Amino acid sequence: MNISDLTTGERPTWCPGCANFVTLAAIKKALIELHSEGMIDIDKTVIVSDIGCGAKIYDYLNINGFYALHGRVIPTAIGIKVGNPELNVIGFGGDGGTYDEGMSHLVHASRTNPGITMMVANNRVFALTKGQSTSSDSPITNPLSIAAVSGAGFIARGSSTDLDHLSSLMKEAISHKGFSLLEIMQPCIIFRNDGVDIAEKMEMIAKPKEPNFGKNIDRLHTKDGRLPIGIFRKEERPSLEDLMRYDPKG
Amino acid sequence: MRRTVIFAGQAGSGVDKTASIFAEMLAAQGLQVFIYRDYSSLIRGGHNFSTVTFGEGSIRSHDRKADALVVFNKDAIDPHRDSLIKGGLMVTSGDYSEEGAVIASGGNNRYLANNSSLGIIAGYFGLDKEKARRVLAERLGPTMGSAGSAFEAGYDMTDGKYSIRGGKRAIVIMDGSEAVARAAIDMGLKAAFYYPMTPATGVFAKLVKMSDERPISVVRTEDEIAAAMATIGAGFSGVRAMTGSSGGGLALMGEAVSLSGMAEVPLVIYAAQRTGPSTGVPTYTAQGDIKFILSLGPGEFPKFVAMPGDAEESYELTAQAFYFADKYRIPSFILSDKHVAESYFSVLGTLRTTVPKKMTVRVKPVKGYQSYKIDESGFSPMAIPGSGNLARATSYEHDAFGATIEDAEAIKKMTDKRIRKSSSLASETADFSPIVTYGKGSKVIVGAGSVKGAILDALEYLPGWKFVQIRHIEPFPTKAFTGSLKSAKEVVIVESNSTGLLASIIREKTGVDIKKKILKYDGRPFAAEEIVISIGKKR
Repeated sequence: MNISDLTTGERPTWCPGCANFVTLAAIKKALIELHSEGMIDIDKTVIVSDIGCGAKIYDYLNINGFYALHGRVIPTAIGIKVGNPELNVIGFGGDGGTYDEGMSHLVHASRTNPGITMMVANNRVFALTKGQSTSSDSPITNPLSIAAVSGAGFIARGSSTDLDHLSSLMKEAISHKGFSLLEIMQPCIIFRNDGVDIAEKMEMIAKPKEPNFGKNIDRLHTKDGRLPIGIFRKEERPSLEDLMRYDPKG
Repeated sequence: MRRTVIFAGQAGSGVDKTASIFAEMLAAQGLQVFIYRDYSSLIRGGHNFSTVTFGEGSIRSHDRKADALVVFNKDAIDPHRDSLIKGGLMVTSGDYSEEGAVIASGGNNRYLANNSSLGIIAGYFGLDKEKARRVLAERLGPTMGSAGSAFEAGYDMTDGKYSIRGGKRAIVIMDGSEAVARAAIDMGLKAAFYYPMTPATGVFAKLVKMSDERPISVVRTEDEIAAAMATIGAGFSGVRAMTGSSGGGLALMGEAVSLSGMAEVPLVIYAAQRTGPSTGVPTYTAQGDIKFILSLGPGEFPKFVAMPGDAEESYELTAQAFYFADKYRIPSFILSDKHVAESYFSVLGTLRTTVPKKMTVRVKPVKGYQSYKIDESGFSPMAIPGSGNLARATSYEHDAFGATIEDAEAIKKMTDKRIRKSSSLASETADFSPIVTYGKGSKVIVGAGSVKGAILDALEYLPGWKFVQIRHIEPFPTKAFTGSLKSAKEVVIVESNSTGLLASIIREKTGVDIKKKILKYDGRPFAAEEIVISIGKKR
């Protein structure tokens, strides 16, 4: 499998220079590597998309996909996973959909631990509706810590300013058993063009020895203006679908 | 001959359980039973009652007058004093009584007093003692102990005024909720998602219980939006799934209903109506959401909406809802209400459906598969992820492959394709009795859903009248309906709402304007007697 297998004939309608091109390239790279490493079967992989700029990825990724509703990626993905636990289910949302419209779904998915991956492109702005502010625009908001106190087993943050690192985080998130949350810091080059700021504040956190990443979670609460990037928590526990009765194998 | 017993007392004192055990005793004698359950939105205390109407013939609704009244506390007497017929039996217990009442043994021990009361009632109506005792033993199990002796002693406390004997036919007592849950299981349900809301919760409580022995997942989600979206997700993955709620909870599901319509992913919703707009009256019945369900979800897309009138129909129409949902890839509703969901009906024989049970999905690879193939019928099987086909579903307007489009011609083409499903669906639903006519006559009573039982029982007192029941509200069976009204001299509609919503839909779909309406909107279901009296007045 190569990049062209994962590419549709659709021409992206993102703005020239949009950070979403990086995210698209990073997920293609991650999927190709995971597929060739035998970690996933691409035929049994599904993406679920929100509504908004980042969500347009549905049209550009040639893979099973469900272009769902604003803020409702997580429950849709949970339904797919409970319906067929053999599928790899990867959600793509933004900060507006995941941290505003659908915040309760994030809190409860963190708690119930469905085996899905949620990628949140965070540009701190409602971009497609032309620049209204989202809740994560506020310096007091730290959505990842809300997921952390709610019990999310895998929490990571990457940045569209580092494609290779982002792609490696995507692979880790998708391979994690249970709920995984990967926030992708992105500038919106039209309404919030702070890519340079993100790059300057970025601070790679060390990847400690598995499986205990516990100490990294403290880094989520730094108040020195730095932007920690990396994996904050990676802990496995029984997933929602494990606890449910339906098993397609009988 | 119809007989009625009212059991009344505080919530938590065993009113419902005692009444339902009595109903099973009656069924074991081959008698048909109907139980209306009246309770408030509280956990302990208050005033609950169950009206048990039974007889040798068909019993499909409850009567308001009672031959016997069994009260579990003093406060329960006054609300029902006038319902007891002259010379009827009153059974009390504990440290209070009334002149002429029989006092159950067991004192303030509720468990013993309830079973003693059961014995008194069973003896009074002359039920076969051994058969009744067996039912009690089955229900109470190993904990029966002294309850058995309390029952037996109670049985001999009166002389036994009646000697009721039923037929040989096996009768099962079941509420509408259980029938919906059973149909879902029989149709191969694999996942259910819900957020509790009366009176829809019964189905999911039953499914949770059933999931102990079956490989199905029942998930209580964080809200109704999540429940509906997860149900769509499960449908997309290729399994049968369902959700359900009432009034406000269904309002929250509106965006998901519309998504199901646009993305063409099946969605089965159990919609149980309660009284009034908004929070309304949670534990009482109504048919006030008919138009709301028909228009639930923005945009134009086909839907299937069926209204069951009893337990057997709850089973049959739930099975239909599943079948049509995945075959036509549409949202599909079982539109019930508190009265059908929570009343106990007599099911004769076995629960049946004529729809095929297998889910319509594509599991094998097809060359050049198109999620939204445009053809004459408007529908083709949905491919599931992992089938070797690219499974694509979308909330955006799309082309045949599911890619986002915005150009004028493509929008029109795909809209036409979606809407074409309506006529394909209508021609198939026509084969599944969307209209059923009961009785013969030149005068017609029209109704749908929970009014069925009272109308059928009223027909026995209304010579010359027949009942035309509308079972499918969408697609509306226009031809079958107008056919059933042909040469009708008089038409009356019966509805549990204040404005005649069904009559309004009929006028929209058929041009038939039914002016005579019998409407009830106090949360209480119709009794046959009310319909008989109202018909007399309307003429």
